[in-house]
Amino acid sequence: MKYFLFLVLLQSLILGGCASINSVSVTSIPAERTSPLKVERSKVIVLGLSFDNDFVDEMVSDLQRQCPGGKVTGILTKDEDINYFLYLVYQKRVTASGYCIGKSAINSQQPRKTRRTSSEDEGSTNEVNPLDQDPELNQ
Amino acid sequence: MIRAALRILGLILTLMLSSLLTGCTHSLHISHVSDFSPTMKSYAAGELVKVKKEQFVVMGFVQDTNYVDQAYRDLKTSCPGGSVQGITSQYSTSHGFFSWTHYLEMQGLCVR
Repeated sequence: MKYFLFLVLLQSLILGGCASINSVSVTSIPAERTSPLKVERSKVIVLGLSFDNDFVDEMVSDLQRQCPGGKVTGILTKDEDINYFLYLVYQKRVTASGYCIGKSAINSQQPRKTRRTSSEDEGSTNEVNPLDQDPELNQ
Repeated sequence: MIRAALRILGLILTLMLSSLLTGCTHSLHISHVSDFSPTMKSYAAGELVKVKKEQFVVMGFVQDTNYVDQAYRDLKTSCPGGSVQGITSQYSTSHGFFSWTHYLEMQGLCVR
């Protein structure tokens, strides 16, 4: 029994945070790459119990909000799972990063990182200044 | 009757094990094609740019998926000052013995 518990603990330590990709897509990358933007959404799922995927629905409006009057393009969309314990507890995370052309992205003018939590679903919303996290986005 | 069932099961397991040992299974998870701009130039006018990144995984023990971001960065840097259009991205996996390799290939037309 002790041996089993030790193995479970060891496995949870080792497997904690194991990441795997579900899907990746990229849209056309513009020549003008001065206004990067990024949106990240995630949801923790326990025992596979998830009754909706609403946490991704607002990503489009979040991107629009960061680029008012402009065009969002060059979007890298990454859908990944972060496994915490034997897929009994895992996190689904969707990240979209791209560029705002035509207008300056709001986040590129505001260096502060803004976070808000959606109360409508279990997912969390992060509107992140991409320059904070990934300076190479501006290349 | 039971002996025959066990024999078939053994055969199936042997086939599965041999396929795992030789790494002969591959799977394509997703293939995505991005938009083509109406003003897109012909292929002769642009330059085909490609990137390929991979991640070797042993029994699922990986902590990040940074190779995807790296592929995106490399695709951008391979076309400085131009736009990359008609990007196809393919995500696939080749399986080995208790290990596998994820491949991500992106290619597009660099138009300056």
